[in-house]
Amino acid sequence: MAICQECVFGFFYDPVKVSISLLSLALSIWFFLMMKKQAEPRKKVMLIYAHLFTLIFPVVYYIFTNGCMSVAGMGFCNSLKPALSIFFVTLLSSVILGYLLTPLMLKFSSKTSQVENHRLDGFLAAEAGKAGIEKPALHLLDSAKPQAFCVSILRPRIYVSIGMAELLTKKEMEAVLLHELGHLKRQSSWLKFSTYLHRLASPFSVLTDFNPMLRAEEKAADEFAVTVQGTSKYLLGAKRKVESFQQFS
Amino acid sequence: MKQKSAPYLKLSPLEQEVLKCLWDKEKMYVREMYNCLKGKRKVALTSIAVILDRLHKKGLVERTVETSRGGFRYLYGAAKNQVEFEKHMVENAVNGLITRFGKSALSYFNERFAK
Repeated sequence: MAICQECVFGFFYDPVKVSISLLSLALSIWFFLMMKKQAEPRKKVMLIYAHLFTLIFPVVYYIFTNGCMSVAGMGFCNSLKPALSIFFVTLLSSVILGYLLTPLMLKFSSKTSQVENHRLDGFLAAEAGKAGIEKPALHLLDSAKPQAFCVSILRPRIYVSIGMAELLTKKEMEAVLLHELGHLKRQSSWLKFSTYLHRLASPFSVLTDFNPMLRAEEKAADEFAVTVQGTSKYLLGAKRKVESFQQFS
Repeated sequence: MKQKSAPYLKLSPLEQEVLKCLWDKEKMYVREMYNCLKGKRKVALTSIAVILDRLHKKGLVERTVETSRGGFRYLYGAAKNQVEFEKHMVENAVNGLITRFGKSALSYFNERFAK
C-alpha cells in the first residue's frame, strides 16, 4: 500500500492549520491548569470539558483534512471520513447515554421504589426548599447494605437502602439525607462523571489527583448536613454504623 | 476436584443463634433480633444486620419490606422450620459423603445401620 507522503506531512506544511492546532493544544493546557486551580465545582466541570474539547480538536482536524488521505489516496479517504464521523458520534452518544441511562435504569429497576407521602419525603421537601434547590424524589433501594447516593440527571433523586434506614436513628437518617442534599446543591455527580471522563480521555489526567477534590466534595456535603443540624453527632453516628457494617461483612 | 459444600454446613455460631431466635419468634425485625441476642452475647446491631442478610442470601431466611411513617425495615422469618432445617442439614451431609466417597460411604452406612 503506497503511503502518500504529501498527505501525511501536507498538514504540517500549512501554517494556518498548524497554528490552529497549536493554539488549540495551548488552550487545552491552559484550561487544564485553570481547572487544577479552580475550587468551584461548576467552573471546574466547564474547564474539564473545555480542556477535553481543545485537546481532541487537533486530532479530529488532522484526520478530517489530511490524515485520512495519508494511508491511500482519495478513494480510501471517501470511505474513512464517514466511518470516522460515525465513530465519533457513537463515542459521544455512548458517553451521554451512559450518563442518562444510569438513572433511568435505577428508576425502572425492580430493586428500587419511589417513596411518597412519607415523613422523610416531607423532610426532604422542606430542606430542599430552604436550600433553594429542586425537591429530589426519594427512592428506596432493596438492599440490606447501608448505602445512600444521589443522581442529578433529568430530575434530582436520592436513593437510600432499606439497610440504611433500618440501622440509623431518625436524626441519623436525616443527616444522611442532608448530606445527599448537599451533593445535589453542589452538583457533585456532574463533577464525578466529568473527572471520570477526564481520566478516560485525557493523558493529562496522570498529572492530576482528583481524589482530594472528590474528598473535598464529601467534606462540603458533610458540612452542609452539620450546619443544618447544628451538630456533627448524627452524621458521625451514621458513618460509624456504615463502617461497622462494612467491617463485619 | 474441590467439592462444593452445602451452605447449611457453613453456619457460624452467630448465624446458628440468629436462626434459633427466628424459630422461636417466627418473624422479627433486626432490632428485635438484636434485643433477643444482646443478653446472651456481646453483639452489635450492625453485626445482626449483616448476619441476617447473609442468611437471606443463603436462602435460609426470607424477608419482606415494611414501610411505616417511622421508616423502612425488613421483617425477617426463617425459610424452613427447625425440623425441616435439620433434615436438610443431614440430607446435605449424607449426599456430600456419598458424592465424595461413593461405595465406601454406602458400605459404611450399611454397616452402621446393621448394628
